[in-house]
Amino acid sequence: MKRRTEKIGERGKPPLPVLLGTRNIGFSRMRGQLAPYAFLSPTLILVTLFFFIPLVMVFILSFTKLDMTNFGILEWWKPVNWSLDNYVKIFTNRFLSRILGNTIMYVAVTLALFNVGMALVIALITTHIKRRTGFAFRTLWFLPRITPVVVYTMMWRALAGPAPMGVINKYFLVPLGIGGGEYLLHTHPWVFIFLVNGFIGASFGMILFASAIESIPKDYTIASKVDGATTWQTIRYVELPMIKWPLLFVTTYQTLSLLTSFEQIMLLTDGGPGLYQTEVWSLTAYHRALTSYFGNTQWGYGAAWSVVLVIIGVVMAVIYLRVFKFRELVEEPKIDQL
Amino acid sequence: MLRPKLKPVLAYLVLIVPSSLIILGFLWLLITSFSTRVEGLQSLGWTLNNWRFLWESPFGPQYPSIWAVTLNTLVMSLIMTLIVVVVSSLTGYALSRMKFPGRKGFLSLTLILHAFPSVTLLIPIYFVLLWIAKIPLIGRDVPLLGGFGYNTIGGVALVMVAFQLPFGIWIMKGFFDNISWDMERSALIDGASRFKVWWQIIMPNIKPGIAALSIFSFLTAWNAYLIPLTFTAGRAGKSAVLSLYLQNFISESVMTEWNAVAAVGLFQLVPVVLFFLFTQEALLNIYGGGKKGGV
Amino acid sequence: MKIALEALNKHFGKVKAVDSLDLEIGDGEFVALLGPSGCGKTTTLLMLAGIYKPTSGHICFDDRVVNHLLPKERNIGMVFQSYALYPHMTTFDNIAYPLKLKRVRRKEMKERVQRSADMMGIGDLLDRRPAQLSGGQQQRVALARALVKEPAILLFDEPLSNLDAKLRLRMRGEIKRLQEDLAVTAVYVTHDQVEAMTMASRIAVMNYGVLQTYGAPNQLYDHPDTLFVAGFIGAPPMNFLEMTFKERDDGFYLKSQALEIRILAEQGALAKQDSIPQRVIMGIRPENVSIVAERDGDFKAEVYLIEPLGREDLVTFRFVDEEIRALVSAPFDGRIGETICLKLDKEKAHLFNPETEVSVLRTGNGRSS
Repeated sequence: MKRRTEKIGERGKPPLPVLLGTRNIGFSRMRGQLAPYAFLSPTLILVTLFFFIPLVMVFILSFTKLDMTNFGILEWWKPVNWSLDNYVKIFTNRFLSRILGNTIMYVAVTLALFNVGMALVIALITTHIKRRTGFAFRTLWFLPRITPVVVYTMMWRALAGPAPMGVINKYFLVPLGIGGGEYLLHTHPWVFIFLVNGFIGASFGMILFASAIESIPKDYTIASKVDGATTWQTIRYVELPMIKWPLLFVTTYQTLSLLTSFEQIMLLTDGGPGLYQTEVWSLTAYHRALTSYFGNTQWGYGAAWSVVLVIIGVVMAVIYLRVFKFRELVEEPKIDQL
Repeated sequence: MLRPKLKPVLAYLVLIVPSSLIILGFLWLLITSFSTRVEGLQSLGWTLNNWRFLWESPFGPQYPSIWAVTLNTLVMSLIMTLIVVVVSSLTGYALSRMKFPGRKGFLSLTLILHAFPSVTLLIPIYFVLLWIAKIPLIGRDVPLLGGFGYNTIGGVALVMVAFQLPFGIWIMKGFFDNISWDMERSALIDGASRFKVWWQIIMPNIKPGIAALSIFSFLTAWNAYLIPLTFTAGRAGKSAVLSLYLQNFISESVMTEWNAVAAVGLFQLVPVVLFFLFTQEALLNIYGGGKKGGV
Repeated sequence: MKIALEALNKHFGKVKAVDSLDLEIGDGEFVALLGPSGCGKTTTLLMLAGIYKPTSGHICFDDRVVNHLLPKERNIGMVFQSYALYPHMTTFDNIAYPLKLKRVRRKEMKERVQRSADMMGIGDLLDRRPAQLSGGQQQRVALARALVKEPAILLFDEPLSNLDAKLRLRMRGEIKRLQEDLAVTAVYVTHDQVEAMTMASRIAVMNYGVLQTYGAPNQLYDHPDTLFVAGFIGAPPMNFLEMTFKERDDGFYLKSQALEIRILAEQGALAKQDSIPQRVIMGIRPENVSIVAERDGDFKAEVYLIEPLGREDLVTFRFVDEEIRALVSAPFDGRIGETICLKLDKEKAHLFNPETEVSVLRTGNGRSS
C-alpha cells in the first residue's frame, strides 16, 4: 500500500480513489480467496473423518497395550499408559526380516509382472486387434476385479487343488507327468499369490492404458506408419512415450495399493502354509489387531504395525512424486484468484 | 519372413495363456454352481439346489431375502458412486483450475492418502462411525440408507467414498485439465461465479469423465467386501450387502456349502458383468485426453 | 469508458510477461495491442478482464481502480480467438447466458438476445448448437454474446485469426463499424499488423512485455520509434542495411561495401547528435526503393526473386552479401539474374542506433503517446 502511494505521488497524479469502497473490495477479495477451500471442503471433511482422525488414534493406540481383555479398563488416551514397547517388539521380532522380505517381493513382483507389465501388454494388444475382440478380452480380464473376493479366491483354490479335484493338476500337470498332483497352494504358494493379486491388479492399469492409447490422436500413428514404422516400432517410439503419464500414475498408485492390500492373501493362504511363509506387513497388522490367536486381539500392537506401514507407504509415495518430478509437471491455473 | 511374424504370435501367446486361466476358473465356477460335486471341470451330479436362495431364504424367514440384500447393495453402490463423483469433481476442479496456497501440496497429499492402508484405519473408523451415528438427523434412521453412522448403508458408503477419493480426484483433475481456459474465462466475464462455472459450464463438458468414474466407482462399490464386513453388524442384518450375504454360507453352517457360495457369487457377478459389457466403451474414456499433468 | 494502466506488471515466476506498462485509452477509442506471440499483449488484455491479477500497478476504469473487481463486476464483453462458445448450449442459450446470470426477466432477455443476434446477422440460427455452425457464424455468436449485456468495454483476443482470409477481411470491417456505431471503448489484441493498422485509432506495439511505442497507425508507419516497430509494422517489411556513418565537407554519408549514399542534412545532424561513432542501421521500406536509369542510381543489384502481388511486384535484389526488396509497379520486366540500378528515397529513410535500437531521428518527431 505504501509503495503504491509513493508511485502515484512520483508521477504527480491526483490521488486515486483507491480506498473508496475498501470494504466492498475487501469482501469480494476474501470471497475469492476462500472459494477454492469451499470446493475442497467436502474432501477435507471426509479426509479428516476417515484418514486424519483415525490416523491420530492409531498413532496413539500404537503406544498403548490396549487389547480385548483391558478394553474399557485401560485409559489409553492418557500419556501415562504410553510406551515404545510395541515398536521394540516389532523390531526385535525374529520374523521381521521375513515379513519385510515377503512384502517387498510381493509388491515388486506383482507390480512388475501384472499391475504394470501385464496391464500394458493387454492394453497394447487389445487396442491393436479387432475392436470387438479387444472388448471381449478386456471384459474377461475385468472379471477378477468384479468377482466377490471370497468366490474369486475359492475359484483359485479349485484351480490349484490336488489331483484329481484340482483343474491344473487334472488337465495339465498329471497328464504331462509333472509333480505328484499335490495341492499347488502348498507347494507353490507364492506363485498363486502373484497370480491371484496380479489378475485383479492388471485390470486397473489395463483400463487406464487402453483408454490413454485410444486417446492418442490417430495422426501420430498414421504418420508413423507412413514413415515406414512397423507396429512394434510405432508402439515403442510413438505410443509408449505418449502414455508416460498414465504409466507413472499406475505405477505409483498400484505400488501403494499392493502395499496396503491383504484381503486376497488372507483368504488364500492366510500367511501360510509354513510359518510366516507368505505373511506380508499389512496382513500382520490385521492379524495382530483384529484376529485372536489366543483369544486376544492386540489392538495396540497391531496399531504399531500399521503405523510403520503408513510410514513406509508415505515414504514410497514421496519418493515416487520426487522421482517423477511431479511438481514440475503440474500446470499453473490460467485464471487468477482476485 | 519368420521374424516379423514371431512377435505378434508371441504377444498373442502372452495374452491368451493367462486368459485361459481365467476362462478355466470361471468355467469351474459355473459348473460348480450347478453341481453337487465336481472333479476338475467334471460335474459329478447336476442340481439346481445351490440356487435355491433365489426363491427361498435358506437360513429361515427372519433373515432378509436375497432380493432385499441386492437392493441394499444397489443403493449402497449408487450412493457411493454419487458422492465419489460429486466430491471428486469439486476437489478435482479446485486442484486443476484454481490458484491457492498449498495447491501442489494438496494434490500430492491426495495421492499420499492412498498409502494409508484401510486395515490400519478400520478400528478408529469404527469409533468415528459410532460418533456420527449420534449426530441427529444424518446419523441414523434415514429412509433407504439408514443414515451415515455405524451399521448403516450410508455409513459404509461414506467410508468407501473416502478410500476411493484419491483415485477419483486424480481422474477428475485430468478431465478438468483438458477443458479450454477461454471457455471458463468467458463464463467468468459473462458474470458467473466459480461455482456456477463449475456446475453450468464445465461439468456438462466432462460428461465422458463423469460417466467413466461413475462406472468404475460403481463396480468397486458393488464388489466391496472388507469395509461392509467391518462396519455392519451382523451379516444377515438389515444393512447386509451381497458380499456379506455370501459370508452366511461360509461360517454359519457347520459344513461350508461351497457350491452354494459359487452360485451366490455368480448371482452377484452377473449383473455387473452385463453392466461392464454395456459400459466398457464409456469406461474407456477414463483417461481424459493424453495431456501431461492429467492422470 | 476511459482506461488507464499505470506501471502495470505481471510476472509468472521469473518471467516478466508485462513489464511496467503505462497506457491510456480514451472513451470510445479503438486501441490495438500489437506484437508477436508471447509479447504480453494477451496477458494485458486478461488483466483488463479481471482474469489475471496484476503483480503490481493499477488498472483504472474512468479513474476508478478496478484491480480487485471480479470479471463480472467490470462490465466488459470479450471475444476470444477460440470463440469460447459453450458447446452444450444452443446459440440462444449462449447469447442469453450473461443475461441469465444477471437474472434479466425472460421476456426482456428474449428481446435483447434477438436484437443482438439480428445485429450480427445470426437471428435465424438461435436454436443451433455451436458444433453445427461455421467458423464465421461461431464468431458472430461470440460477438453477439459479448454485446448482449451492453458492456462499457469490449475486449478482443485475436478474434479473426481462426477465420479464412476472405471472411477475415469482412469481419474486420464489421467489427470496426460496430465499434463506431456503439461508440464503445475497444481493446483489440492481434499479431497481424494489417488488422491493427486498418482497425485501430491507436496502436500499442509490445515486445517482451515492454511497450515499444503507442501512436496512430500512420505515425507508427511513417516515423517508427524503434527498430522493432519499424520491422514489425508494414508489409512487406522494411529493409535494413548496416552502414557506416561519415561526415564530409559536402554533407553526411552512409557507406557500406556496396554503396555510398548521401543523406539529408537534418538526418545527418540528428545522427551526429545521437553520438554513435560510426555504425548506423538504415531502414527503408520497399516502396521507397525504385528502379532507375543507370546515371540516377545509387547502386546496382542483381534480381534474385520476383513475387507478383497483383497491382505491384515484390522484387528481391542481391548485392554483395546483402538483400533489398523493392515494390515496383507490375509487370516488372526484369529477369532473374539481371543487374539493375536502384535508387533509395532518402527522405523516407530511417536511421537507428544499432546498440539501443532506437531511431536517431525520433527527437524530431517526439515520442508519441
